Amino acid sequence: MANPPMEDFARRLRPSTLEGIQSATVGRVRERVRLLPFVFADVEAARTQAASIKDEVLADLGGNLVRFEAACLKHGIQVHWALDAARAREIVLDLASRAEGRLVVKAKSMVTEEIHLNAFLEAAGFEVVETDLGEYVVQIDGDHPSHIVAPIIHKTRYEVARSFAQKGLGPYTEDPGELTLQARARLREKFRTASIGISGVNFGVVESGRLVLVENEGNSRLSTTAPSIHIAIMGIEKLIPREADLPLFLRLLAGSATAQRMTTYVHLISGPRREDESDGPREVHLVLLDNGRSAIRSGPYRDVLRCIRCGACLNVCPVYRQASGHAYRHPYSGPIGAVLTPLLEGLEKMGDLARASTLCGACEEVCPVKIPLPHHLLRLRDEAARQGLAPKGIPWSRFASVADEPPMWRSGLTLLPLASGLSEKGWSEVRAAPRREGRPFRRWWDERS
Amino acid sequence: MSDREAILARIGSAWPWQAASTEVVGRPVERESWALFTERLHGLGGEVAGPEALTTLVERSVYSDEDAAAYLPEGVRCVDDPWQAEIGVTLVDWAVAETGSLLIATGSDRRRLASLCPPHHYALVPEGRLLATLEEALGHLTVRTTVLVTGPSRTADIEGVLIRGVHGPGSLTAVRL
Amino acid sequence: MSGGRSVRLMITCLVDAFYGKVGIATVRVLEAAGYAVDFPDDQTCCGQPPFNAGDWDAARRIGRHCAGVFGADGGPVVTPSASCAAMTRDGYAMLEHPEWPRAWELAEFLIDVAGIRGWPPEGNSRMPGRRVAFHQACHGRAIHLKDKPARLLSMVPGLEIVPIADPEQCCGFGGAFSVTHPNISARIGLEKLRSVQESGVEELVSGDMGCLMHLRGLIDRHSLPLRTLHYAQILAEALDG
Ligand code: SF4
Repeated sequence: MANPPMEDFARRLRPSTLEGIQSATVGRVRERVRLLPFVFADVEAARTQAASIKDEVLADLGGNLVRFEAACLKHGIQVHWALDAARAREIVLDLASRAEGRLVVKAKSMVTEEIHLNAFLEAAGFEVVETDLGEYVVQIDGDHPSHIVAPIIHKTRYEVARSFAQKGLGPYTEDPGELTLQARARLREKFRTASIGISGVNFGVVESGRLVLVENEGNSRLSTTAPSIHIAIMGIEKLIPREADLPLFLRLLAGSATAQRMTTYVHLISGPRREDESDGPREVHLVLLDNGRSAIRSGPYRDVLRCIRCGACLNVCPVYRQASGHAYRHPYSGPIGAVLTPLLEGLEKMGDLARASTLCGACEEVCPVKIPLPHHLLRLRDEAARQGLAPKGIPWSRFASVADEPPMWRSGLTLLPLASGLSEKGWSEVRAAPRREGRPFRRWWDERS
Repeated sequence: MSDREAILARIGSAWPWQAASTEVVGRPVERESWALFTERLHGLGGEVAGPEALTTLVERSVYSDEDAAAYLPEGVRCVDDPWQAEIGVTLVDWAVAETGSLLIATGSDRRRLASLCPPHHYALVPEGRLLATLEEALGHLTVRTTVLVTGPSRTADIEGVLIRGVHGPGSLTAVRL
Repeated sequence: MSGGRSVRLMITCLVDAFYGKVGIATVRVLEAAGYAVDFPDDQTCCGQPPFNAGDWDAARRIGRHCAGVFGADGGPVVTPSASCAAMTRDGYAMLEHPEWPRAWELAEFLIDVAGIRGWPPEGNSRMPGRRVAFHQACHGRAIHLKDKPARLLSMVPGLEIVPIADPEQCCGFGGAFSVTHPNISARIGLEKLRSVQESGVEELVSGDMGCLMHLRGLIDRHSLPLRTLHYAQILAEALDG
């Protein structure tokens, strides 16, 4: 996404877009807060437990991956390893090329966005169809998803109506129900005739080699059931150790993402169709993708790998609400995007995202796996500054030299550097300068004693 | 070096890990309560019915699990193309009161698309197959691919408006046998 | 009042520079709660502004100075700012100096340490008909401050805290963010001010002068009929009866 820096991008957003995002995110936050206490006797304990289980996976990630691979192979799931995005794309292309047809149906998956799979397959002559309703809209509009869970949170029904009519999906309608039926009709033909289905994976269960996919629409199940080849792509961090951990994670994900007790479909895949079965894919392939994750694991940001992509941190984020997902210039947006994207794409290109936060901490408070996102944002800012990537702004070293010299500080020169920051355009463009209120404290104190 | 070796080498060795000392407690649920199951499924836009509901399938086109076919009344038009059927009928392994969910495994007498392609899904729940919690139900997972179905297919992608039946069935009836 | 108890006041750089009133009110409140207040004259800043902006070397240098001023000996350190208190705990730990002195946020200190359960501690002043909105500063999250400042305010007889929509929502200040992303920052702030105005009050109270400096700047720029106050100012007013 070649969008301009966040502040410029946000400035140009239309009020209708902002209102839509605002009401959708606020609504989701309220529902989540209302529901979770009905799901867990102690929400806090559930979050602590989930964080700890993800840490358990990460602690022995190598061992867990090897065990998981063995368990997958036992069911006939073929396992492929990809060090980076390019390798993952090649593997997928190679597998897809063996199929008879050239039609690919895709379930919603953040990781395929991350590796830019669609454009690659299309260039190789495949027709790739996104089948999640929101992702489908994004695809026919040549747009990008703007939320991890709600891809078209930035669009109104009128925009969807116009593009459906333009693309000939049916007679013009602004009714979300009818628009949904139009998409359903068009996509059913695709499910029926596709020979390849591509999906992500929400959880891989180490002990059983099961691929767990959750969704509400049914398109993910169709994409991974109807075509003869299913290719699942999974970041190496998406493991959970035991089947017994599933209820906790499924509840946390459904509750945090969409305020549901349970997602409509939880698809627990253990291999291709068996001899005695009449349907299901004949081949199931799993691509294990690193793409920078092993490096993240060995550094101070390792606990971002706990993320289960629920999107709760986006919904509560005041900056996300005013800037929209596209302002983050990457599939991962909001607070998790502000941390993960610079780690995946480099500070030079994406380090500014870490500064696009008020550090209010609302994200950490809702995160079902307790990722200390504000801490990571702070650390990234420091790292960027160390690499000389921080923007010129308030001269902090000068501020520090004054703050280290009490006589200078007291003389009133004190806040000169701070004051220079406050007189900067960034401050004065939108706000009045601060005024002194009352007598200076020190003078009062001196006179008093 | 293969990508596999390269990734494992980058990950390197494990480090020690200490389990959190918390115990997660779900909300207590009454055992095997049909009342709770019905309330939950209703809340999601689904229905719970008795076996007599199956008589409404007469004359309609049905794509059915083979092991569910025995329960169908005379006069049902069984079809072999899931994409053409109006109704899908499946036999459920376990129902879950707490969430209003249905656990359905694949198998030799089963058809994955029966619970997925037709616009209406009738899920048959045999006697004694209702469990209280998700933990119990998932404890019964076998080596077969399985799906946990909780209510009709839905989306809220367009302006957050809830729409049922986007790709999967828009109506779901749990039939208590 | 019991003698012998004392605290050391960390006034914060913003109060030092702009908001003398808030510092004076803080001293009066602490004294009314029964504490002798000491003001170490060499104090400057806690280091939070550069820490937040990503200049950790500068932050460490200032933090070290601060640690020297508020050495281990002496009474508890108290500050009328959630973000400075958070800096001395969370921030210093991230700077790998968890041994540097930690500060109490004023409300936290009054409730948890001083055991204040009614305000004012003596006399029976009232503030009948006074209605205020309260904005909970986000840095309180990092130190689990929760509603302690609001609880203190609600002890003042007659004072009414009028609920506002989405009280947990940030005001959009964010330190350096307010300068690097002025538009986003202002829009978040104006939303906060809209919910305050919708609650029908004319006074907005908070516990962090960073938030209030930003909100005040917006109020002035948009000529909104709102006053801003630190909660210590209200507690001090209550002492006057
Ligand atoms: S960081 Fe936490 S809240 Fe955000 S998407 Fe990931 S799991 Fe959800």
